[in-house]
Amino acid sequence: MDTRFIQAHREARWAVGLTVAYLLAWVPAAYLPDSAQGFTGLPHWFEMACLLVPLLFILFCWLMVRVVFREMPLGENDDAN
Amino acid sequence: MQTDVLLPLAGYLLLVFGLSVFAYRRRRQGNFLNDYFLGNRSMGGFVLAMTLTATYISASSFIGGPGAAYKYGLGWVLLSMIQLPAVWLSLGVLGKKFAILARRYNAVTLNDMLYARYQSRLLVWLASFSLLVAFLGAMTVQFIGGARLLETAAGIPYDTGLLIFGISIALYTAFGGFRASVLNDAMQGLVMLLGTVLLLVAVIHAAGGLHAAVGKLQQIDPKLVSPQGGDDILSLPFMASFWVLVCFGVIGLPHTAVRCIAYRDSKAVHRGIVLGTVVVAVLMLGMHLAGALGRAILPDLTIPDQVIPTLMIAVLPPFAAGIFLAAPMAAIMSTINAQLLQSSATIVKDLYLNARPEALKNEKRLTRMTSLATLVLGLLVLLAAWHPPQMIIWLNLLAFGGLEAVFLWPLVLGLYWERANAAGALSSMLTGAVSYTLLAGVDLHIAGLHPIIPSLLLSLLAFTIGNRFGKAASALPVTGPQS
Repeated sequence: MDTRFIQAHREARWAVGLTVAYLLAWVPAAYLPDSAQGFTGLPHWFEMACLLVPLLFILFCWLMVRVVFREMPLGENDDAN
Repeated sequence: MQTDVLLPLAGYLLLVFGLSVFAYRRRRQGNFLNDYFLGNRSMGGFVLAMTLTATYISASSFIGGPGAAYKYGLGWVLLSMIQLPAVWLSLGVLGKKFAILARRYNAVTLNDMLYARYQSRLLVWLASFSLLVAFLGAMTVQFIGGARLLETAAGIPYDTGLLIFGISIALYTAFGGFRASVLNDAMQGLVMLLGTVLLLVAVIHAAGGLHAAVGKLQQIDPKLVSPQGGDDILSLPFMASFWVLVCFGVIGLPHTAVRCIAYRDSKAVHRGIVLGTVVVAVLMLGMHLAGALGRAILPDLTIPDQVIPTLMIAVLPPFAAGIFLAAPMAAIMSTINAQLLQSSATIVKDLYLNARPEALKNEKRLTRMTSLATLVLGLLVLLAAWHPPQMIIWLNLLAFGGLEAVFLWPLVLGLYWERANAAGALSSMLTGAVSYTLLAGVDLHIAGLHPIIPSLLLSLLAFTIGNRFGKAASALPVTGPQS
């Protein structure tokens, strides 16, 4: 198999994994905290699930792309790029 | 006041035309198909991010979404955040493998990819057919959404609004092709981003700060600040369905997939993933939160779909409202042009050229045919939108679901399961299409789940069963089908 595919498969697995991780973080963040107003004025669950968790996962996404993803040529030869 | 709103809108339309002319002139001599439908695979990271988000974020998330957030409260914002992983998921999963194979087969459309993988004409026909049906439906919804928007916010009669809208989109897509489409997406993405942030800030300011706004919502109905939403609509099966429909399922959307074969290089896709995720997060959070908090400012709107245009008029000065009215318009336009292009690609590339491969030599004729097909399709949709049914924003999700049910497994398994073959893919597509149409048609919700979940499970099952009866596709030719 094309060696580029091995890396591509690895990246695909990471993308799915990070999505599942987001799901797993999203559920407790949304349903465990109470509805009292937090310091932003929004309810506690909202601060967790809609502000903190997405912010964290944007960071994770950036990290994933930096650490796991590799640059590679996509064409068969240079002019096909 | 109306002229104040209209002036920036007109200016915006002119800008869109200008970009299309620019794209038209940039079109180089040589391979017309590659350029018209893919922009010569020249998309960089920023444009990729913008075009992807602009195609996800359609009328339903700009008009219907905030409308629902207005009605059901902060819980709907939670629902909208489900879409956060969509960009990294679809670009990551289809990712580089899809791009490498597309270059190897010299594929221009999604159907080229499917044909190269499964070697089945029947499959391409089926794919083309379902794509055209779903896109015609989806585009009609978008047109209606756009015309309604002009109607509520600027007082333009529905018919006139529809004409302005329809003609400008059909024209710029027909002549500019993919390059115009993504260039406009990039600009529209920026307009949306700016508009969203400004609107959210203005709404919070008008409500007297977040504390006051949330307190007011709590006063109206405590359910509005709960994650279950007003009327407890956001039940577990409902949320689970959305996870499939707008997050995991988007991998199977054909107009997303085609953007995965059109980027320049791997650096572009890396930047696209990060930027796209940030943009989706800001837009989803901003628009829906504005809709939800809008209830504290305008507590008694009867038609929730009008909340964004009404809020704009209420909290922004008229001139600024005109500029940011362009934001939802931008969202709608960019979604339509992506689908319009995809449809004409299907007609010209997958149906016409398959039937008459010798026509490929006549570039001039091909150019004219393609623009004509795009134009005619646009006009067809315009006619369909002339007498709109009520409450149709859900139709959009319906069309999305249908496409996902048909395309998800053939795409993903075709990439990652070596033994996948045409028999499996065909049975999966048929099962997905039929079960989704039936379930959605009779409005049956098994255990409260959206039809997309049973349909995807059934089509996966059909794939594995059908696959036993087919032969593995022969080793793929490196030269690819044509062009």
